[in-house]
Amino acid sequence: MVDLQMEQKESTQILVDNQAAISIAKNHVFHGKTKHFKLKLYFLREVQREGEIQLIYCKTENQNADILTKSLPQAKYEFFRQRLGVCSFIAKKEC
Amino acid sequence: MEECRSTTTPMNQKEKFCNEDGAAKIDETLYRTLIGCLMYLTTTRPDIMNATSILSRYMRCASEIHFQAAKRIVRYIKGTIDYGLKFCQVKNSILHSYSDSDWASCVDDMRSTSGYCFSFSSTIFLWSSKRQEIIAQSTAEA
Repeated sequence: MVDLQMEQKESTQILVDNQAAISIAKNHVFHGKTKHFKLKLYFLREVQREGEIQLIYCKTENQNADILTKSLPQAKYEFFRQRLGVCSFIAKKEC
Repeated sequence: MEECRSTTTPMNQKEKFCNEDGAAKIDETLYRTLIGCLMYLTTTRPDIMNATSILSRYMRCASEIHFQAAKRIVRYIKGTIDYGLKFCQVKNSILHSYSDSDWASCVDDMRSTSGYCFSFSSTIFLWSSKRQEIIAQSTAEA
């Protein structure tokens, strides 16, 4: 980002659609059930505390990364494809 | 393949692949060449990233079923041959990132697939779709 001569003032927002994951990452409560992935969790909490990233809940309908993890029905697929910025060059020349 | 019908999505939504599916084995060189070509295309077409990444897991045990699915991606590309990433000029550009994963999608070893993409203003510039290296034990972990 510095190379682009644009300073990033706010933290990068990461949109996640799993509310449990966000609350575990935020709260310093001891969760017995999360023992097995402790190490990565502490890293995540650290970067969050320093304000580098921010985990935000995002509905599954708006989750752009869906197209990268599973195969979707046609309507959903075309919606996400358009949101990624993939479009036809012939039809949308005026953009 | 030049006169094939085009499809609207690169992969059948309900299709699951596995290592040993009982179908006839095919020439692996041909399959690997095809996957290699599709991999090259993913640098400008993030929409086929997931399908290509799933099929590339079966390079060493390619069967007729996997080859059919790979040909479906080619048919999808035929229908969307003029598509590409478009970068437009905008005033307020914010860096956004999306992260998602499914859970235990791989039939053979129950690993999950995770994907992320970073977008700057309206178009994404960095994306990935990958099978996780660990076996996630809960959806929150995945």
